[in-house]
Amino acid sequence: MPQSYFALFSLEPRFALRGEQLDIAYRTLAAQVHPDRYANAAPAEQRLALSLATSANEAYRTLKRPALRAQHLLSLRGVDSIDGGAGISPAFLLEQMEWRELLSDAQAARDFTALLQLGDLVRRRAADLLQQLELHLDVNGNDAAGARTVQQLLFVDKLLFDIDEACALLEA
Amino acid sequence: MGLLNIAEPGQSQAPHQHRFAIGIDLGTTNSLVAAVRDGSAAVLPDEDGMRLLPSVVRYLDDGRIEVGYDAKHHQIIDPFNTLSSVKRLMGRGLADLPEPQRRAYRLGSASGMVQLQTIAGARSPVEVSAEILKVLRVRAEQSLGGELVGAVITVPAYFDDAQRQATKDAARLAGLHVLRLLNEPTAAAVAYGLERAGEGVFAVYDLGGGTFDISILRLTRGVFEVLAVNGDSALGGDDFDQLIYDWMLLQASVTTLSPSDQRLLLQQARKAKECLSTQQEADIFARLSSGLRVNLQLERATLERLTAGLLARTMTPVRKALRDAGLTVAGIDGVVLVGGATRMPAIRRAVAEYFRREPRIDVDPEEAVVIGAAIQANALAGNRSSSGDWLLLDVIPLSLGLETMGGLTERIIARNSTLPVARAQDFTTFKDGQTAMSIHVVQGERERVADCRSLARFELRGIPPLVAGAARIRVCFQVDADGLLSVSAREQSTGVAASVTVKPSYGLSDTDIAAMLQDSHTHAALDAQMRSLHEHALEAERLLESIHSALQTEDDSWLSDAERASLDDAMSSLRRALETRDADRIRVSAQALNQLSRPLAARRMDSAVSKAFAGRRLTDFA
Repeated sequence: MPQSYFALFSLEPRFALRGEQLDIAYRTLAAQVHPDRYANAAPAEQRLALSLATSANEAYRTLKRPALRAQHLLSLRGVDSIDGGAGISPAFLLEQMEWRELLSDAQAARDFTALLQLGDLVRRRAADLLQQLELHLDVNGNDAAGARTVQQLLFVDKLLFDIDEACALLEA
Repeated sequence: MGLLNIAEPGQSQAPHQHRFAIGIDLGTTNSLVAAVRDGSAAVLPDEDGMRLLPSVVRYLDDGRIEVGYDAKHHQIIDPFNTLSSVKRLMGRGLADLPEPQRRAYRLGSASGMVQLQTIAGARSPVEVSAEILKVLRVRAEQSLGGELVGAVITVPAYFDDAQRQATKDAARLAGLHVLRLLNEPTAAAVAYGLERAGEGVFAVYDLGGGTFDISILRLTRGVFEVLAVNGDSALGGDDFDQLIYDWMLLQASVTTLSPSDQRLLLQQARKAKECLSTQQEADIFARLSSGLRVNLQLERATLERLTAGLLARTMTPVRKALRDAGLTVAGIDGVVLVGGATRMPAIRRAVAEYFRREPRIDVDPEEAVVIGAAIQANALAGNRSSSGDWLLLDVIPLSLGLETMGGLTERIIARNSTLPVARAQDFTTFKDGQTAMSIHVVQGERERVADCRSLARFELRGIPPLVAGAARIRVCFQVDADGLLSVSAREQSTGVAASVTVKPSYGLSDTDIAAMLQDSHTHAALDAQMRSLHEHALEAERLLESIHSALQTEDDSWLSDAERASLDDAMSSLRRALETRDADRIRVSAQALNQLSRPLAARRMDSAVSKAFAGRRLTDFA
């Protein structure tokens, strides 16, 4: 069983986060373990602070990003959502391929507006997937459906990342 | 001077004695030092009341070294032995430098960091920077009247690992204990945020003499959280001077110039630029060594036309940083200008236009960074501050990647990850009995290794010999709060730690540093043994003091009687070792004590955290 990042922050292991509870818990913990708090401490304590602050940052990064949070939650429930893509429907894959094509066309044409429009489209899809995830994981307890949705979300996140990088490259 | 003032711990530190720590802004053009005294941070001036120290170092033929105004005044008569703007050379190779910079120095280096040829021999930018830091250290010691606990030294947020490491090495050569390398825009935010108690999201636009940073920070209840940084570590006020200089040559129809004349005209170019921040036109006058007189008039509008391209170059990083932070201009609550070059009206106008609000300039743009560094140094030294508890959460400016097959990079740590950050990656062997492997770490955002900056090659040795593919070597890449990378490796099935040797691409190896330390002793009339004893003794004293103060806050339940007794024993034997003045004995005793202090460290940390979260045993997560 992996360490629970939810437990690290004293949070309930749920997909949906309430308000700023994660941010507040993170800041509280970071304030206790950050290496700056141990600038005068013995080397043993400094090493421990470095390691704990690193864990706190990793936990925060994981829980902050919905896809990673869902994967972590599933792994705590003994469901492996890292591997596969088996549950991904042909229709979803087809749509992904179309969007990828739009991305490379926009890149080739150096069409900034097209990139922004594609970004908006993909972001709306990401928002849909988040709603589904909350339903599967927090309401219906349907972990298998949750694992499939996470796979889709990972595809969509990667695409969003690539769109952002393409925008950055056009600006440079 | 109190070289070895070894006192019993507990005696040496009165409970509320102020521990002096300084902030240093090691700038391209000027450097400053500041400290918190009587509760407020102030720049420490020199004996003549000068606050700035020009970052100029001159090597003389009799072995003397001039730093600051003295050196600056000689740069025209002695251009090749008078080095300025060396910050732009820190952690840089010859191929990294644009043509004008190459012309300004006598450079020599086949590989690795550039070297500067002077009358005193070849000097690395690290050694030159150390001379500047030494002067600031002495200034602070004299002004504060005591030994320093350490220093916070600021670096451009967009400095890569090699540039950061070079800065830290320079501090070590200057005999400074580095408490933290702090990003310049973050330091400026501290100077603004703490004194003006603002909350919200801020952009810090920092254009210095040689570097440009943009930093987006969120301030929430005493936490400064850097959301994104971007920048250009080879763009600054110097480049504006260079364009004015080029214009001057064109106007005056001069083609070839002696090195002295080049320095003279560059100096006049800088003066004109500074003048145009308040005036509409500037007169430029210079008499060249050939007798030719250069007499020109530069209008502000002309300057702005000449440098519009440079200004535009700063706006690309600004847009990228905003996108990385997931924000638009509307989400920014305030904009702060830092760095001497932001005095130019064109920059103020462009920033105001882009962010659709007037930038704040209420802290002197040249002093905000050092003031923030001093405030942070004071907090790290363990002094209580009037503004209460606060925390800086900074980020790594550039992604870290590994070279994979075909010269491509695999990203392991993404830019703008909050520090400290670590990633583990598993590798395997491809030959039977293979006991060593090499990992090439690069920094940058591009896919091809050739387009990123090579940081270092890490050689792993001592991998247990197994059949090909059976060894599973977990390599951990750790970036600490200074933004510096370290690498450790362990074979998973046998648990054997591999030894890691670093071959920095542009940095100095430990052997280089040792040689430089050795070298500096001949000048300081302090032999290597004494130096080593001094360093070990200081470290031992820090260790004794930190454990002593940890024990004072101890809860009885933390240590068993046996643990406490062996800790006390180890402390006593380290104190005895200090009396013998035997560097090796001090080092060995300190190591033993450090080892024994681990349970205390763990329980202290758990206790601190359980105050924040009821009942958490945090060290389970370490």
